[in-house]
Amino acid sequence: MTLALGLSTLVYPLAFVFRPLQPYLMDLVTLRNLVLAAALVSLAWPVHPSVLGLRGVGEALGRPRWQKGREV
Amino acid sequence: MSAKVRIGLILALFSAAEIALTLHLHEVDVQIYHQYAVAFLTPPRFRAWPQEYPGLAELLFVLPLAYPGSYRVAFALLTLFALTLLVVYGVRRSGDAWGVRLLWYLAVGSAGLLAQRYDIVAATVTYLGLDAARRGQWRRAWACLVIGVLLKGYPLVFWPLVAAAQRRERGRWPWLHLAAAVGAAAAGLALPDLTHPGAALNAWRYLAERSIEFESGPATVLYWFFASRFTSGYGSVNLSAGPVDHLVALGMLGVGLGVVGLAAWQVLRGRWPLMQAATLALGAVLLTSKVFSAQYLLGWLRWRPRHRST
Repeated sequence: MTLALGLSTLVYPLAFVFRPLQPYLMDLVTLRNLVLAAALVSLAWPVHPSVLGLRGVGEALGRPRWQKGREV
Repeated sequence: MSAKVRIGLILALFSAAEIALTLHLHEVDVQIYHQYAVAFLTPPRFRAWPQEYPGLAELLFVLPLAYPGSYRVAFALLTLFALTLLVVYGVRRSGDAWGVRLLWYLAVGSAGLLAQRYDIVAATVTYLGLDAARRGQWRRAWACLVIGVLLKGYPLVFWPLVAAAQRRERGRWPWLHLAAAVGAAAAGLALPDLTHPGAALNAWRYLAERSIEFESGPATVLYWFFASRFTSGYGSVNLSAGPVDHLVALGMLGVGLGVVGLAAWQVLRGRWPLMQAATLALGAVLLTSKVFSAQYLLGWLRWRPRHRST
């Protein structure tokens, strides 16, 4: 998650330097924002981590580990 | 080689790399800090305050001018001092592995930015504040969070959570601490007005007026639901769909503040630990504000995993 967020900071200078890339970078950051939003929702409400493949993202954000249908 | 020596060596190497990056990969922010510092000390003195940052940040911008050499290097040294404080304190509190992990996170997450923005100073103060709250040292927690707000603004989202945690532990609302915190923050934020009437609201005015940065959550909404176009200004690439921009920004801000309220409520009820609620509140405000500032969340993630169970 840290790496993904860290790499996504590269979008900022890229959008400045390569203007034709802006729509594609917009798609990229939209996806990033959606994943982050979903991870935050999983932090608030402990859905099963297989939902949307959020296991790593949710736990990286501090969501309690899920085992056998309950939180530990 | 002991763990402490190893961490010291890693920190020294990391600091050397940051200085090298500072010299060869110029970030525009340091240049803006330098301009603010010079304008502040140019007659008539103490009248030119930062446009987009709270007044106390000016202190951090002026300090590096005392160094006789390059401003960039002096500013980098200031941020590395804050980082060293964070590492030393964090290692003492959370163990050697935490220190190594912190530096690793920094290397992959924000190596190019760390020594050229003052975020690490605000992040260190915020860390000290939340760690103090976690240990029930409320006075220290509030003091750090007030300084955090005076430097960068965003630690304000933690105030309701800390108040709720204190209410839960003590059985009564911390009115005295809240009043002292609000008073100190108001006095600090109003400081620029003493020399330049109206300057106290610079940062808030800037935030209200600026366009929606294209990486932000409101920009995602504009992109999906409205015919929008890319624009430039306020030091960023932005997205605009016309008059609806402000409505979307306000609506998203409302959502973010709603999540902060929900997090505080859950802390008050004892359902969420303080650190989990703080992560959610910060993430929500980060996603719903007009500018996406990944470095705030990155700063948080660096220390967050250690405190999972608290």
